[in-house]
Amino acid sequence: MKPSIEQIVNQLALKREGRPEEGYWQDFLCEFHHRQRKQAVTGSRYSAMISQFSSWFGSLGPSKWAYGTGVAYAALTVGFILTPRSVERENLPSSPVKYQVVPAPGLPLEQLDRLDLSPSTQGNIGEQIF
Amino acid sequence: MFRQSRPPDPDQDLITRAQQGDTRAFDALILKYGDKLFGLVYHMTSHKEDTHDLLQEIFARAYQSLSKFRGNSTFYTWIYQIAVNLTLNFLKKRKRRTTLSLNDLESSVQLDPALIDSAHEANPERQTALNELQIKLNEAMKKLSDPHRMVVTMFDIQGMSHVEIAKVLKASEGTIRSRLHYAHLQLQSALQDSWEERF
Amino acid sequence: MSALVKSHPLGLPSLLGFSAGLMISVCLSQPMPAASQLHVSFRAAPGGNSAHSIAVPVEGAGFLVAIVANGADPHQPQLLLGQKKILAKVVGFDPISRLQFLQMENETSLPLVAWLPGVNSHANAHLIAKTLTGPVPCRAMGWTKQVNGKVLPLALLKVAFDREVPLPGTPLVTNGGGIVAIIFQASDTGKIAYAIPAEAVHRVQRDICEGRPFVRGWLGLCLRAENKIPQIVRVLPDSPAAQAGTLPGDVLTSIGDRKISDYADAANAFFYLIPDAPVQVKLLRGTVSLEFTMTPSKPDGM
Repeated sequence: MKPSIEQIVNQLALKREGRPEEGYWQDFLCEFHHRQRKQAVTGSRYSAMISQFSSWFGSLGPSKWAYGTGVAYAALTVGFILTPRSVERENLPSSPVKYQVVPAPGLPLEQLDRLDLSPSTQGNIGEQIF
Repeated sequence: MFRQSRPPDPDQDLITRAQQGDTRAFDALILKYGDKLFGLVYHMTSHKEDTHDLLQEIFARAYQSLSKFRGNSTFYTWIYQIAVNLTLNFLKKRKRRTTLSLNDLESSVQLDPALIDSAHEANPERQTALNELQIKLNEAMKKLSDPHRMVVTMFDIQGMSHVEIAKVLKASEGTIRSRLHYAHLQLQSALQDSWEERF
Repeated sequence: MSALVKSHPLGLPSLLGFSAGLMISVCLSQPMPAASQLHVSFRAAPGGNSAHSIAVPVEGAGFLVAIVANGADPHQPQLLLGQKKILAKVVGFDPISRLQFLQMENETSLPLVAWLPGVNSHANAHLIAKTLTGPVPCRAMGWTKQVNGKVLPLALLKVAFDREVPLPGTPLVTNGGGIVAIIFQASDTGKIAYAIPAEAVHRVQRDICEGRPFVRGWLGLCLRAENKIPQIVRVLPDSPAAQAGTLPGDVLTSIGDRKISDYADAANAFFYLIPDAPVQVKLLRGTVSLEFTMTPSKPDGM
């Protein structure tokens, strides 16, 4: 049989009193402040840098264009210097390398029956039946 | 023509203090509305961790935007709108990111007050049956589309009026009513086989 | 306050930072009400040591779970709330996992605690340990399947702390508050803990709180711990594995939802098998992938 809409609504209304467990909001606030503090530190460093740069640049007057061109030229030069080029290498004589891969010996592992992490605990070796 | 005066926001004092940098005032607002917003986000996401992360984001966003809050609505409506928008965006991203099966989402059994038997003299058999029904209802809710689940959460679970919901969702009251009606029909259909006469 | 904000050279952000910093140090310095203030004291077993554990609520009226450290006597625990003794009876103890379940005599309403069922998503998560003195942050670092060259009967969650590891039984919760594991014990370094996942607590509780010992489902297949791959070396006749058609040489690839990549994964998966509860087992025979439904039975003699 189908429930009536009223019956469904009554069931849904039972959820109205749901809330997180005790102590949740204290932990939440601690985390919230931690995040705000982190953001404040990151944000203030960045915005302080930007505002310092903006005010310095603005105070230059007409000569700011000369400064700007100079900075751009310097950036291009640095970029040119740092760009890697192909380097001529000496042709070194090649020598054949002989090696053989030897598989590491399997460590005999024991199976613990119980959670006992003491180094002296003996486990079972060999076949384990599950 | 006189403009009808709006009743003062009960949170005006806290808002002003928070805007002036008093973090304890904002804390008080978090504690005042936290449970309501928790309920909204949890019933939409069905995931306690996601709820927690979203709530952190919602309150952070509200705190950052507090200086822009002009009082055109109450603080509660304003922060509720932020919560609705962030939750809907999150759900869209979650759908794109993974194909979550309904089973991947936490069962709300542990946290759902509808499942807590607070009356010691309650009939255990009836309680078990009611628990099963609530679980079925939770499953049916998850199958609703996000906008439909949102109106059911706001109206049926949170007890908001059509007018309040329309304000938050920036839709007409008529749209809200028809969306709600459709959602109820969907739930009714989903619970068809789970309902017993004794309920 | 607004005058202070306006006059401060860096303005609002740094004052926010200061206020937040003050608030967080207040939060950390004061003991916060923790989710589990119940704890259990155990006497020493002969030749062992006494021990202490947090007691965490589990589903069921008044049920709690605690860890009985190796060397401690599980038989006459004392349940405490702070310093106050609380009457409780032992529901059962599992010697494999060292989990003990208690029930409070006077059914006080315990705080509702959410235990998270699927723990794999938290294997590398930031967690919070709910200690007696308040929440302590920690970080899950994946699974430990063997210690000192010995394979564990179930995989434990490895958790790193900045300070000394809290008491056994301490619940580890996500930011959302759900319990993912409880501390079993600290490693030798003192800042790494091994924790029993919530799933294992539920599995053991399932048997113990029904008044029976914890019994794993038995399939009748044999593996060797020193084999790198989880290859079946023998199938016992008339066993659930034999009845399903498993052959020696088959390599296990999954048991239920658990992927098996080595022997230790298999040992962990077998821990969770329930007698009479069918399970899908996938394996590789040569290059062919096969899937069987097996119904574990109780081990012989049970």
